[in-house]
Amino acid sequence: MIDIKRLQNIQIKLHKMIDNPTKQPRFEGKHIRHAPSKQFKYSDLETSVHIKSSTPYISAIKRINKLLNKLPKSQPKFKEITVLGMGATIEKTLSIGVYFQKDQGLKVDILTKSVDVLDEFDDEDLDHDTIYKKRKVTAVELRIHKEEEE
Amino acid sequence: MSRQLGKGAGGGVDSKTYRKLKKKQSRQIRTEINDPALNKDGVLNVNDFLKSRRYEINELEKAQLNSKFSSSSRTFQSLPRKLRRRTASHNVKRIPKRMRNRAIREMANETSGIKKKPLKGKQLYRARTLRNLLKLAARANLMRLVPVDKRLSAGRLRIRQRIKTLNEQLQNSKDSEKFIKINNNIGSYDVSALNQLASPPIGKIKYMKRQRKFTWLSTHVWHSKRSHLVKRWGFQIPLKPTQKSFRLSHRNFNLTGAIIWDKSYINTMIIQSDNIQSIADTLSSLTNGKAIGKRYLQNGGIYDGLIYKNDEIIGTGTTIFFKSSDEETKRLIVRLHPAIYQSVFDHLLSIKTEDVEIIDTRYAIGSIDVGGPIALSTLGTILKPANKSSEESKLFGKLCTENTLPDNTVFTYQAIDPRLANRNKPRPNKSTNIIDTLIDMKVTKANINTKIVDNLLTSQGRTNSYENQLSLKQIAAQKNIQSSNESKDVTSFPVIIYKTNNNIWTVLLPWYWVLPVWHAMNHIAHMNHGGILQSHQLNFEQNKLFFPDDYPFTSAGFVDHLIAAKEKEEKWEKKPIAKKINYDKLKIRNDDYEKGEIGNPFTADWRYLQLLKFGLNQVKSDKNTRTSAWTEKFTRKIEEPHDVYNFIKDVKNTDKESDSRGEKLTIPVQLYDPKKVPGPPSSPDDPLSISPIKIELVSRGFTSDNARIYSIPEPELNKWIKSTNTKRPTGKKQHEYPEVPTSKNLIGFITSGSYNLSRGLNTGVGYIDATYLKKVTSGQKQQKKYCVIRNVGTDFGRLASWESIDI
Repeated sequence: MIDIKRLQNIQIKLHKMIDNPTKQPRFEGKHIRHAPSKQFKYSDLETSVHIKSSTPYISAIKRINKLLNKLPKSQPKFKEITVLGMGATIEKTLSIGVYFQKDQGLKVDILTKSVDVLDEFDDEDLDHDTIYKKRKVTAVELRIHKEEEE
Repeated sequence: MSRQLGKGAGGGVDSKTYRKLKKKQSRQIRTEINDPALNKDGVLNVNDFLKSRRYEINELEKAQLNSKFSSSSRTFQSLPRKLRRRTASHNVKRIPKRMRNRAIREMANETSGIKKKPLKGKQLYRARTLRNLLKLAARANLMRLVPVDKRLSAGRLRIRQRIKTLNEQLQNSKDSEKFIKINNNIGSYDVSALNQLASPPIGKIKYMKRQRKFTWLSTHVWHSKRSHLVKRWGFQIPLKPTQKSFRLSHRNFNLTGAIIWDKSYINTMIIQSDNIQSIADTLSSLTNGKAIGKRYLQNGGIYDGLIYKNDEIIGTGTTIFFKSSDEETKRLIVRLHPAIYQSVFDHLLSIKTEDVEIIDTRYAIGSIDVGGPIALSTLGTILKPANKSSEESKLFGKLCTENTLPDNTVFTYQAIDPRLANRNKPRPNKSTNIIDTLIDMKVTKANINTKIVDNLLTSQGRTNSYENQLSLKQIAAQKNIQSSNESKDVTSFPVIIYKTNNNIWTVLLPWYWVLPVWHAMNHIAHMNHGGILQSHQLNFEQNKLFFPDDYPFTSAGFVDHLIAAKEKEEKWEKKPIAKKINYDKLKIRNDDYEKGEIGNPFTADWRYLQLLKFGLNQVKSDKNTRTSAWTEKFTRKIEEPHDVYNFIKDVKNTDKESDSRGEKLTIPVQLYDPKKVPGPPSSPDDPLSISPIKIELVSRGFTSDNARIYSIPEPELNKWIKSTNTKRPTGKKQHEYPEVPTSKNLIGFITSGSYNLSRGLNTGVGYIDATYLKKVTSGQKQQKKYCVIRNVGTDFGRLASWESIDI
């Protein structure tokens, strides 16, 4: 059944990770954010959804529904859709998960993880190069299964 | 990706199922199982029995025919659209070799096959003479000589004379200067020139007459079968693929694959010197002081942006800096659009100091652009490093599996002939952290091997890469040997791969290596080729300006507008009267002084806007009290509104006269300099300051090129905003809009406008009067800014929001 309490616990845990007191100070200058490392896979187009901060809630749900309805049936077979959300979009991603769990009664796995991202700092002094820096961002991954939860 | 549903006959089943069903049905033969002829008593009813058999025989015959025609899809129809070629239904040679046997069998059944008639008379004679010429060409190739005598390709020589000249020259080839000795059998050689423009290569002997004025890219023959080409700027350039590709390009570029361009027509020059200060000065003057500092003068330092000549913007370009392997020579690669290349080259020659050398490598360094999620991994698949254990190729191997990498990333390595390379797909290594690798790379600069850069940037290095370059035939032979025995030494060539801010990877490589790489790249799934229009489209979707179309204040852009206008006008002229819009009689607004379309209907009329802004500034009253009046110097007095429009007509007429006299046209607009305070032009020849904006339609409507941009008078604004969301009592939107503002509210033009697949609505980029922009932006901030867009030839406007963009 729906485990709202567990979801809340996850959220609290993630928020704690976001408000990490040992946060490192940022460099001076323009901050260019780069996307996390990603490899292209054709099957990802049919089985995964990335939630951005600009993705509207309803659009995401419609898109996931559409993908669920036409999951590739031939080899390789897929039985689930992966939904990924990072940083500030975790809340939105989780509420999407809740929707599929509660309203549609589908089986939803929730995994937490952290993702490496690259920060580039450009201090606009043309005598030296921009600086790269690694940062870890909390992320959440939903696996929405096609079959209903027992 | 998505299976399209078969419409029509399928009745809702998808096309695959429908095909299966059709096949199954066609093979069914109906029979009468419950034979009515034999009744209960065991007596045979002969009449019924015969009826049944007749029915079955009929069915059998029908089934034979059905099964014959049900699967009557032709071989070429089974090909993906990308591989289909024109007239493939008649000509088996248009079908890929692996399917040709089947096609020949199909053609044999056809009664109306086209048979080739044997040549006769004049045609036969011509073919024979051509064969003689080609024989000579083949002999030159075997002798490893390339004819460079310009007379051979000149128009005056007839084919027989050409044969004669070439024959004589070949016989005296030992002491002749009319040949270049080359190091391979397929005619690859390096064409570059020091401190002067290199003369274009004459090309393959068979086609040399066709490329006297417009040089062919090395992929020309490939493109000519699959693309529309244009002759511009001294090159024959692919414009767009023959296959419809608006959506395809968008999807491949953003989602499913990649788009590939042969960008060898973007010209390259190399500025080299031992003195780094001279290079720094040249770079600084090229970029008007924008690219100063060590960031641009380190190995692999990239500048991508506006290019200046005497403090005046003339276009866009890219520069990359490299030191030679002995750290002595410093080289700056400058890549420019062919429309501005020559003038920049001449300008740099005139201002260069003694210690600077400028090498023209227009025809020596080619380039391929690839953009899309599989772009980098494709490069990793095709361009395999010659030395796998070298630092730079290891690094590329680690990073090339990525979807995207930060801007200004550069890779250099020696790649082997892609035709002989093992094209396995690079696999991501689980043990390497991409981001750590990138950070390391930034510090150690292991991605740049200056020896390889030297190989690409020196004539000797490029010539060495052509050493024993193999023909297709030799490649096939080599492959057989390779599969049976151990691998031989494979020829290799240097490449520089870099990415600027448009998410496209550019590969620089020796000119005659472009074609082998191009062929190999096009074999990758989900890879589609593009032309100029695709570059423009993808730039447009990111709301970026495209040179030269979106740079009307540069002379290249202005000329481009004029040419496009002329083309459009000619097309319009050809239409029958009933089918063409009469722009002069267009009623946009009844109370306007301007009758008909505003300005030249075929272009964004910058001259009109400039004169309008000048004239409106002179007007003292908004009432008309008199007819035209002149000063003592016989110039029109501009005091009342109607004077402005008459004045514009006057100036346009004098412009037309001076144009027909061949006088040089001055560009009526200039880019707004944020340091200065913009104002209306002080004289009819003073250029108007304009600033780039992007627009997005608020509700309905479409944007097209040259659409007019109006400012909205204050009292009207609320009416406009309200109009976009008024609803009928039924709940549906009511599409009623206020009248278009009057012509005095004209503030600019859209230079590129269309449906934007990235945004899912109509957008555009264009320019508006900087005075207006300053007035609006200097006030309250954070407010959405609105304008009205009206397309040429229409009498209605649509509300749009606008934002200024960086150039």
